[in-house]
Amino acid sequence: MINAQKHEKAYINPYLGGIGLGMVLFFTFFVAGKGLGASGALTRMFTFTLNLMSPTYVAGHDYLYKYVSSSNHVLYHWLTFMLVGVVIGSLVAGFRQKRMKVEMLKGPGTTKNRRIMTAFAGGILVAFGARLAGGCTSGLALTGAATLGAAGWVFFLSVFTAGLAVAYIIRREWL
Amino acid sequence: MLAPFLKLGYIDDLGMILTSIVAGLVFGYILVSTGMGNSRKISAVFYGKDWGVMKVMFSAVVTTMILTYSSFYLGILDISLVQLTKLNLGAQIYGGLIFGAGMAIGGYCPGTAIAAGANRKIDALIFILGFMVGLWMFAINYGTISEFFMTDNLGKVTLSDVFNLSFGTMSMLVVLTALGTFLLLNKIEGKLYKKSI
Repeated sequence: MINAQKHEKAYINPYLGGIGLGMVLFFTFFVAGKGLGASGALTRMFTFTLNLMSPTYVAGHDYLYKYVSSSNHVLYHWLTFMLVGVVIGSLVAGFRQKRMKVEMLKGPGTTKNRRIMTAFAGGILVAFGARLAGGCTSGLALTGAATLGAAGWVFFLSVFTAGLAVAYIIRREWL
Repeated sequence: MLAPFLKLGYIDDLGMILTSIVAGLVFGYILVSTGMGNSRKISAVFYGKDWGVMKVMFSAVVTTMILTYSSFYLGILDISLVQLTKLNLGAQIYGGLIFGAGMAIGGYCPGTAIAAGANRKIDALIFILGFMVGLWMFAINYGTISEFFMTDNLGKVTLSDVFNLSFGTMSMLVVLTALGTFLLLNKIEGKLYKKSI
């Protein structure tokens, strides 16, 4: 078990947290017919920023252009509002539970420089995989699995399979 | 039918925005409270050291499924109006494999990185920076990628369709599998890698 650090409040029971998360997901299904998500909002923020810097560049790329060419503003979307909520919710929990220390979390056997590389490389792969699959852990795996969506289950199993294999290869970074 | 409110026109855009922000608030709060804002705790799932991620995910899936399908059977929720990602086997298998590799290396997924970043974890902020680079790489290669992976769209397929079972039976099976998995996971927690290397 990985427990919270000494200066922090202990983590809550994972089953209890999961039930709470499940109720939130049901709430969004019931009210909006939509699920949770995180990668979509990051993609929209990325496209928005790129479009500010160079609209012609964005217009030249089919994938990016479809975000800015819709009748609604690229940031006017269910998931971008959710991102605002996630940040505020995380801040509130972070302050209340004393988890706001500035630090770099890493495995005990690795260096800060190596952690910078794994965090950066991991981010690249996760973004690429999420855009290819059409969602991430929250938008595709969690939301999809709860509605018995085959896409969500296929994605979840692939993530876990690759995760176990790659984790073994890079075990020095985390164990 | 009573729900989903938004798709049936009972609430407007403002209602949608408020719903989304409130859901995000609780989502973020729970991620941080359960330790999902800690890359060490997330990566530990791939070493069988800590099944926290799986426990949170599966109990969330089971809870949502039970609530969703009971309201469907009670006739208050039109399930066909609830979001369902289309099945595209190539994209979701390869996408999932790349995503899983990234998660094992980086220690986060997008939602948990946002939560950890808000808690001032430097590695999460670097991960998000990498994420932006990954998005850019995907966008510039989209032409080639879509030729290979985005072609076999199978539409909105559920597990009930795949196994030819009713929603009720299928969700019961998923719940039982989840319970079985929990029992098994608790037995082998911390035993996959005997010693740290």
